[in-house]
Amino acid sequence: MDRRDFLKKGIAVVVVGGTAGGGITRLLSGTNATVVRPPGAGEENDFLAKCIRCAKCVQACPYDSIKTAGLGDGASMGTPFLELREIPCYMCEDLPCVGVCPTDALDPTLTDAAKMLLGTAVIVDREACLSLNGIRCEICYRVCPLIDKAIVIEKHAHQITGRHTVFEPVVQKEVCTGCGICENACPLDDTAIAVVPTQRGDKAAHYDYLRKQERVEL
Amino acid sequence: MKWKLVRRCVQVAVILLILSPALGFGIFSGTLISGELFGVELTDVLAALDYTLAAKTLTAGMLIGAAVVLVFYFFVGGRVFCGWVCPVHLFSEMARTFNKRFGFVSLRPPRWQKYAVLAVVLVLSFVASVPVFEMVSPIGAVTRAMATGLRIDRGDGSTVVADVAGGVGESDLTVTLVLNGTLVLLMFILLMDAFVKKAWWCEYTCPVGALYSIVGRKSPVGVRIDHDACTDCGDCFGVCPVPHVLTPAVKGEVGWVQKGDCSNCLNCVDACDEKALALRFWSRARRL
Repeated sequence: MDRRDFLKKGIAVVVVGGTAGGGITRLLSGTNATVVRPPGAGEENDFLAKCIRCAKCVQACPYDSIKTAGLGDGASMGTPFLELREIPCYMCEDLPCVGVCPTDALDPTLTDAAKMLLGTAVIVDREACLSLNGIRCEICYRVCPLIDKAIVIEKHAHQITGRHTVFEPVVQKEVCTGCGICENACPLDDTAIAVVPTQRGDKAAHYDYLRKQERVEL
Repeated sequence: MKWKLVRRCVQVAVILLILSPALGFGIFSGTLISGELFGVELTDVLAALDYTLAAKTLTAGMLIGAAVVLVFYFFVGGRVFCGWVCPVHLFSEMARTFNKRFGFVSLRPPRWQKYAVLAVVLVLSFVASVPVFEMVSPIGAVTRAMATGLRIDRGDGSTVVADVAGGVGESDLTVTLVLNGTLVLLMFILLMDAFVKKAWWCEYTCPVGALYSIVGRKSPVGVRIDHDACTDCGDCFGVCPVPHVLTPAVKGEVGWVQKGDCSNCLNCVDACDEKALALRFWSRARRL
């Protein structure tokens, strides 16, 4: 290969590679940070860097909870994710999905399912929630694998009737693993309780001290 | 013995291995990106490289899995992965047969194209911090579909992956193959094979093929030529997917079919009526 030939090929590689690279980088920027990852997955960009899309975790999941992202999911293409409303994570004791991961994209130091963090459940629709309307639903509380720890019932007087009791399911964010069993079980057509990305950072933790206080009975 | 028959059996066996967890005899799990055969972890070499560049960390277990694969393909010939293992290559071979009649557009990609793709993939994996090829890999997509796409739906909302025999008697049993959207690249490859340039992906573009070409360059296994028996008939050129590897051998310059690009598919050995070509291990004399 003479110098002229080498130059021509070099320029071709740079132009074509650069265009393809630019396109792919653009594609990568469309990541979806709200997607629920399997147990042990770290921060989203870290997970995307470490996951080699081998689908071993998808195959290892005995409940078919873990699905594979397809075309149009940007950098997530081929990565595992969960749709908790459809099939939640049943928190297998031996965490088979974590065990088969070849690349530490799912943290192998996670051995206790109760310590996993897929997200945090919150009541997303307080108006629709049957329990908050004074009905004895409390299904999310009953199905919670960490009942009385991750979801507790707080009783207070019904604001409108004044003579009934509301049994309010309250998520304890320090305990909740984001398994989504509550989200899956909510009897409404559109769930009133859902797993959302766990709040991070100082600002979110600022008022934690308040919630840890003994409640003052009025 | 026709080598092509042996090769087809191996290719089908690989597909059956990937399907094995769904079929109920799980001796293999995972995909061709990363899998486990009889408990031994195996990881694709390019996946390991991409991962290391993207995550910027070394993961011992995976690197050992990649090293096992690397050593294996160094010995049997790098692109044996392509010719004997990769299902994309098998499907591509089928699509290529249409090219003779339907190859309307002609295209001559340069032979260095796949190395350029490999370089771009590695650089991009580092820059974008994502294993770029594994993201779009048709090999990943097709083996993922095989490993996780086969679901036996009982009709009552539950799916079984293993219990095929037990469920057949039930009337509401349906077998569905869930295809992943990333298979689009595979479709594109097959269309290119059939209508534009046969082996456009496998021989000229695929970065996995490029990497294994480098791996197998000094491999001890290859196709040997007997210059006395060769009659220059050219039959081997007609069946070889990468005929440039044959040229120096048939011209009489060297005693071996050029390694690297050659996938040891042995089509040429089958085609040689004079039995001038044969699969050989190691060489005492590189030149005759």
